[in-house]
Amino acid sequence: MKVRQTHTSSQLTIWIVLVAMLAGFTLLGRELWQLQVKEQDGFEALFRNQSLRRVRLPAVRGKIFDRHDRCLADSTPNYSIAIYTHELRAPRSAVANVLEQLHEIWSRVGRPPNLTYSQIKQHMQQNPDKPLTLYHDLTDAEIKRWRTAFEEWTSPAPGSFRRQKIAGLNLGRPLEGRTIVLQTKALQNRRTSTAANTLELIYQISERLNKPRVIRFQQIKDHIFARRPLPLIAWDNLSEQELARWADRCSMLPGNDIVCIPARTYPFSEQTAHLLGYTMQADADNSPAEAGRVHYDLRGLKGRKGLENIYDDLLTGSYGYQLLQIDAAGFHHNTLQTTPPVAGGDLKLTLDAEIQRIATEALTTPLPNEKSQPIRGAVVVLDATNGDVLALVSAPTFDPNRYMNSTRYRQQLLTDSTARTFHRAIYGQYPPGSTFKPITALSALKQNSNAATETHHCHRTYRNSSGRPMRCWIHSQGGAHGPTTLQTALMQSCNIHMYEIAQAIGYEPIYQTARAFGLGQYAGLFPALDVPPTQPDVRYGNLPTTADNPTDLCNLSIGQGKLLTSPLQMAMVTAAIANGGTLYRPRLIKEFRSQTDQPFRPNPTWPIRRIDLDINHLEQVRQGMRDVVMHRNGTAQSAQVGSIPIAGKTGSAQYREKVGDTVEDRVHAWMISYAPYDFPRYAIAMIVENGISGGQTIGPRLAKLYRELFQYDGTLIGENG
Amino acid sequence: MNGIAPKRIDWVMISTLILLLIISTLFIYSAQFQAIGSVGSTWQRQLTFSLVGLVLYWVAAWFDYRKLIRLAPWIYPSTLLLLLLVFLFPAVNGAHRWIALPGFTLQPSELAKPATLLMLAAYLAAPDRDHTTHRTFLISAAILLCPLLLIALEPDLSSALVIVPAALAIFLYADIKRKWILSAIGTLLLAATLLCGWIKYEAPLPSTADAQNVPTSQWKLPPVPLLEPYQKERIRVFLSDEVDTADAGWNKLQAQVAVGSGGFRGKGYLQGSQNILGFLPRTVAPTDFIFCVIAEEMGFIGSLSILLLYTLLLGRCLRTAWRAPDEFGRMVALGISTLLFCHIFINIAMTIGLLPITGLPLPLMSYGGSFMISTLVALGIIQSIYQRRRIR
Repeated sequence: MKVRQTHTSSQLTIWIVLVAMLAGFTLLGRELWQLQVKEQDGFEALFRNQSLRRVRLPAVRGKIFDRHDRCLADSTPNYSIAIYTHELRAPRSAVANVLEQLHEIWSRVGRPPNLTYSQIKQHMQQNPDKPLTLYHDLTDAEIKRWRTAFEEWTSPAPGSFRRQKIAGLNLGRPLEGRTIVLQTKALQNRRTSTAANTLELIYQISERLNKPRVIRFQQIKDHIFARRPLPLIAWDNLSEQELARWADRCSMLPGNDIVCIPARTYPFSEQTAHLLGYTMQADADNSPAEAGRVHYDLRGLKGRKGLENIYDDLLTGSYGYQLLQIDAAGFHHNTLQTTPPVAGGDLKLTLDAEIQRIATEALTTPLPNEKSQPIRGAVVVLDATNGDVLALVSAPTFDPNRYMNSTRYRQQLLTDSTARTFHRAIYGQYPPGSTFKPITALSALKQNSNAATETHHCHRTYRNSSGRPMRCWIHSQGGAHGPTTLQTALMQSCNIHMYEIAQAIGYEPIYQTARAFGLGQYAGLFPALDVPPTQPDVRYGNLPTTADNPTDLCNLSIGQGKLLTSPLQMAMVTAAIANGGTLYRPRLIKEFRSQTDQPFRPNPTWPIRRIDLDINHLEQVRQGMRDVVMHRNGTAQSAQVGSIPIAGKTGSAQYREKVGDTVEDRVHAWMISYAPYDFPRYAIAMIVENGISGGQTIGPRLAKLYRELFQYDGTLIGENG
Repeated sequence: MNGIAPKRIDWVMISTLILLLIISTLFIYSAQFQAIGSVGSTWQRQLTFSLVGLVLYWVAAWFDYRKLIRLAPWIYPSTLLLLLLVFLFPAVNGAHRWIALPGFTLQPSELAKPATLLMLAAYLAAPDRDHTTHRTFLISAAILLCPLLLIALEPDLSSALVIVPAALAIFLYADIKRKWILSAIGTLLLAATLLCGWIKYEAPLPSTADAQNVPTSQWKLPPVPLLEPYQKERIRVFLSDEVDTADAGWNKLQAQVAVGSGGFRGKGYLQGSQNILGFLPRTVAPTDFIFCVIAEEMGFIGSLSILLLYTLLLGRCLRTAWRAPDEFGRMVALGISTLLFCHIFINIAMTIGLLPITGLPLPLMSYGGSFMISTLVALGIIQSIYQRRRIR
């Protein structure tokens, strides 16, 4: 027997294997060091990229209060049903499959099938092996549409030549006669998709809440495609009964919950619509600061008009962020970190909601002799002593709560001929008409102290210095004022007197006075908060700097021609006359705070200028204005309220409007007024478009406004006016 | 003689092995862990396999390995029979790899590999064998190729090829003429290189060609015969530099991300987010990719510790080969050590992107009953050799 010796080469083999092993493990160890220590950051970034998602959360929007802390714009909870799709990935019943195919077919036929959810459930329970008829009376157009869509649906996938099969449908026979039949047998053991499970859950909730489904299947698919880690909102604006019913019947269903989305409501809806504006869903933020940082933006509200728009930054607050971890399929796994949003700041206005209501009613209630068409006009009520805005009304108005929720209402308003969303009190541009006469009178007094005692003669054949015949309003009623002094000219609103004194002093003094009263300039109603106030020299309205001829000068003296003012500007003029010549900036924001846990900070009153006036001249004009209301020959006796002395000036500004094919001469009825005469508190400007005259259209409205105002502030206790 | 002599047992090897088994169970628990209360039963099964395997380990250590020389001609053909039986059972994912038994699926290839090494060793260690003849070389090559071909036909190419280095080590040890071995290896390498080149420039299949593949003027080779598309895909992923994250490159990338994001200290036990979030596919995390789970949760410290434990274990096995009392024992110890090393190296190398993704499990770590038990029995045989070593 041959005995083999152990060769050295055999011993060597063991060594070779050992060295190879050590070399191999060293290589692995080196590579692990490289991967786990040197390149760790890169792999961690990769890991974060694929598994972390950042969501931006909107803050609760700040509130807007009136001066007595009545809430004008509120953030109320909007209770919604959210579906958490990541809990619906496990296969559910075959009903989900049937519903999915049904919706796919529905979207291609274009009308709902002749079936209800309970019928489908019943069918799947009792005889799922039999076919289910979805449609039985298709029209020719529907059949054509369905055939085309089916052809497209089943068209071969790229790179293949075979048409795709649709479970439950026969490739060769998409319909039988006029019916579409689904072979539910083929759907029974099919894996259900997350979208189908979501759809079935929505049907279940819909059935239990007895609330129609509002979300479309395509929306569900889009959500799962694009916003997978986020909950899907299936219904919103649930009522209390629906909430109770949900808790009773739906809370045990998987993957759904009630969430609360802050929504905006305006308790005084129409009354404050123009001033507050409204909010809409914010646009997607594409700013570079957020680029790449935010994967999902739960868009909050953004102010679109009025105060909501102007003070949007303050009201919006600051965003919160949420860091989500998603799993490999892209569904929500858990929430790693939440930085809560900081609620927006609040505004407290100088507005008094009650005065706003009184003013709205006074403006919009039709007088007994008026046609009941919607009144177009505006009222501004200022505090004469400091320029606080107490009411700012524009008519006709709209309902902001409806506006935010109804597309149809928005479109209706867009085509409305009366421009209901237009804020006439601030942005309306009207010739002031005779309400401008106090300024002409003050200019004349300043140039010539004797102007108060000079008399001019109002007659029907008056011609101005260029020989052009000019008229007074009373001429059209067949009369004339005869000899007038400045005071009676104001009281009776005589145009001829104004022409005379204007031609005597020329254009420049009137222009200067009008400018001093703030006409033709920016009023500064919406200042930047928290910065020293400035009065920018911005043109606003129209105050021509020169007159081309005596006729233009005459027209300016009675507030006609090219001159345009807003009701707010005329209210500022009134307040300045009432308080002895200080022009205040109208103050709308009384107090504000940028965070809800801070105290309110005041937005101080600020006089624009002290108007250079002789107090005696002002007194002459004021007496004239008192006579307008209080004198038996005044143009606005209808504005009297009890024994309270009221001053005012009517105006009937002529304008031309195209009605059909003809151009009609029409009248904006104006009145400016302040009261009580001796210690003025309120300065008011009111206008009604297409009225009769200041005295007839505005006088009674002003009386109603003053009566309720004085009852509200206690001046008229026990009196019925 | 059968029996156990406690003073001659290699306790270091046993404690290393038990430590690895404990780590395995812990991390299979972690690999199935997604949230509290959602753990599968995999870890319990793995624990059962480990305990059964340990019992068999002691049986193998107690058993006198020299009797295996006479038993090998019985064991080897029966595993071949099992490899044939596999084709009678339905294919899973297109491969006939498992024999379904009640409560357990047997993977015969894992039994066949150590059995082949036993047979080779038994054949070559016969006292009257002349290792220089053609006949010896051809017969031992046949012993190797029979199971190799059967396993490759399952198809499970990587599992078949992993046995080659182990057989090579035995051939080298047995002093088979190096000229023959080298020419065999050379032929294989040449064939592999040609194959890789062919696959790389192969014309795409009509089914996978779509509009995205812009036709180029580049000359394409006809399709490679015999290989399955998925195998070609894997090799192509390995050959290409750019990572195809959508398809086959996904697992490779996710495994690398898991290992890399573990960092130096790891994310903590049960905190492996790659695994919890399912980026590391849940089906393979406890089997082929268990090392990723450990590397992610325990970091570089953890993965290095595992490497050191394996080095220690294999070092002890080679020490057995060194000190075995006879040729058969040495060849068996050497072959089994090399087989285990190849498994470990290829598995870890593929999880960190050094080698293409293959289905090779990590010994003593990956979930899988057949492999766990065959590994433990093989190690038991080594223990049996060790305690019958020569005393110097």
